[in-house]
Amino acid sequence: MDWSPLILTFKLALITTLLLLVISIPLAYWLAYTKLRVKPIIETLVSMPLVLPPTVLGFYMLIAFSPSNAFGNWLDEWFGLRFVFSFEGLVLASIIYSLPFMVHPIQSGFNNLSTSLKDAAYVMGKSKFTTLFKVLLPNIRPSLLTGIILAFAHTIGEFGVVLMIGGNISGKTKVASIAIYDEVETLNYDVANMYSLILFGITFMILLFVYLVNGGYLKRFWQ
Amino acid sequence: MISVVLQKKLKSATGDMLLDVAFEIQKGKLVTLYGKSGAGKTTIFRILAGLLNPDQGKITVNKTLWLDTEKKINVPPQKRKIGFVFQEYALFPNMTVLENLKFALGKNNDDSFVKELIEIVKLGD
Repeated sequence: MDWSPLILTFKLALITTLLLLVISIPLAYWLAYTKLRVKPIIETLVSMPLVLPPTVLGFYMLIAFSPSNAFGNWLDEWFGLRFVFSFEGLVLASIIYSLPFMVHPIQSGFNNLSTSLKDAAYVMGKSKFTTLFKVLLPNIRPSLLTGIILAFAHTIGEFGVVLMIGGNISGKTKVASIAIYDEVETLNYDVANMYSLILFGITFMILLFVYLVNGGYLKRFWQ
Repeated sequence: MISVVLQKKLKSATGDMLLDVAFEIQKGKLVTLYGKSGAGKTTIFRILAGLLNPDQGKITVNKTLWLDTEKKINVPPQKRKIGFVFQEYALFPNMTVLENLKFALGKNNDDSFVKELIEIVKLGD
């Protein structure tokens, strides 16, 4: 059995999750506290990947980033970035595709915090930055964990968007979900079964871990 | 002396209302603000602390300007020296009592008396 699709899948999920965390904290913070009127529009855009078929997203990204287009060509010439049929493209597509899974939990975490916490820190002279990292984020740890895990697990489960923008290049863009499809097409049910079992087991463990931690079961166990 | 003039449109249960107050507080005086529920007491305090912006207003404290909507001056809450006890208590749940006190005190201050305070209220080990 070829392990590279599995390794690629987890590499993609890890990089996507890390980048998403960096993007989502400021975005969720802004969404939670802004009073600007554009907020519902931004919220809608963030949530779009929840309802859009992944192929739609993949199709437009394929069109936008194709080097035969002005924008894709410009990216290629100026930054040497080619998002079509490349790992970078997979990462970008995954970030957009999993964005709501990271932003929503963090945003609702901020919303559920009492405003007096933020206010109290400000009145004591703490900067917005200190308040965010010393007061707000430590108090929404369960939301952060939920966001991280959901984004990670969701990236593992990607199929349509990855196939559209990344194609099916072995060792480069062929992730596990596509490898399964590939093996089934060529009637290699045993290999498809192995990939599927591994994905099933790992995603089960990951989600179980979140529910154990957020439900406080692990703490009880350690004490 | 503290002088406050402010106006802010508020949405109350009975519809829109205009909070429109002006007052002065002499140095060293203890002043109590009272009024009906929903009259805007908390709003006035929040505006004083800089946590909320009025539509129009001017706040001067000992001749320093904290807020002047006409001149577009608005000192952030971090720079206004003001104590504030919140209606619902605002202890930071991610910190111990000791850490809460040290956090409030700031980094560059001597925190030796913090332990003493904790002993007084019998929260020490």
